[in-house]
Amino acid sequence: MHISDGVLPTTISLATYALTLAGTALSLKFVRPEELPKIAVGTSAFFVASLIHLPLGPTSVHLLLPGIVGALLGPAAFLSIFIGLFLQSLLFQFGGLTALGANALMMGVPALVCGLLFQLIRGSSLLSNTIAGALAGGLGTFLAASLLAGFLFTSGEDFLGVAKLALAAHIPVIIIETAISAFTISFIYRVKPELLKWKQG
Amino acid sequence: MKFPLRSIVPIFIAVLSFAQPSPGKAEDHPPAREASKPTTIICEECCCQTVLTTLEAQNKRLSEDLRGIKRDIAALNQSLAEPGIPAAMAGIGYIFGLFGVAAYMASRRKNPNSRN
Repeated sequence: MHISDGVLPTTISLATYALTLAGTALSLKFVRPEELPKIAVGTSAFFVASLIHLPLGPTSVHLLLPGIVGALLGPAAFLSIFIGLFLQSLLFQFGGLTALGANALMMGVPALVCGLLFQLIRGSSLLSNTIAGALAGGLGTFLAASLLAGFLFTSGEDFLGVAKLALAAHIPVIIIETAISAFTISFIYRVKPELLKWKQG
Repeated sequence: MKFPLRSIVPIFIAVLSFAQPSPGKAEDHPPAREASKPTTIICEECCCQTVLTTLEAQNKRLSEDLRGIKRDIAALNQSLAEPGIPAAMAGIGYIFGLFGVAAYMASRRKNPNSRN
């Protein structure tokens, strides 16, 4: 799920970097000091999630968690994802530093979309929150895979084939992520519902 | 005095070839076995055959073993390339440290005059 170095053309790399930096700067504006610990925990969860490999038949998939990060952190999710991906590319060699912009957009935009969606439909009951969390989780992974296909298209691949491949490879991830998001959100709603509220300054 | 290694090799080979039992030399064999010479040749052919089959079997087994070892090495390489617990811990430490500094700066900005 990470784009490696040298896959994308230089113009796309630079453009995505510019967009990512702008998004991160904008995201910084929404960060309130009292939210910092929550963002730190969300970032480290996102950072570590890609190490959790779930065995699936002959291969294994790993969690992505853009949906849950977006639902929990709101606009600050973009910053969180940028930091998480930066450290992943430094420490785990996931993706490359030149493709960091594209990777951050690939994860950050779904996170923002899912966060907004989650806040719009979550309502005030446990059931509606759980369903909203599940939707956010599934949609986040789906959007990320679609964006991946889109970015690969710019590098000259056959768009439909790659898009199908990326989506097919992520169907199990989408299902697992939906379940995990539903469980996590319902748990947080029961234990500490104020974590799900966005505080914007 | 330096003894050149290249000069040893032919001597060594010559010694080895003398040491090998040659069927043509009669004085090597006891006279009682002279009569059964043809059967010995047949037996040697049988021996060659069995040695050949054993060698082939051994070769096959060895190459199978080697394939398994190569597979193991590939798997090991892959698992070595995967990041482990230390890298994850380092990353979490970076994230918490970064946000800790941010929180510190934010608290300083909030009340810049407090010095404790």
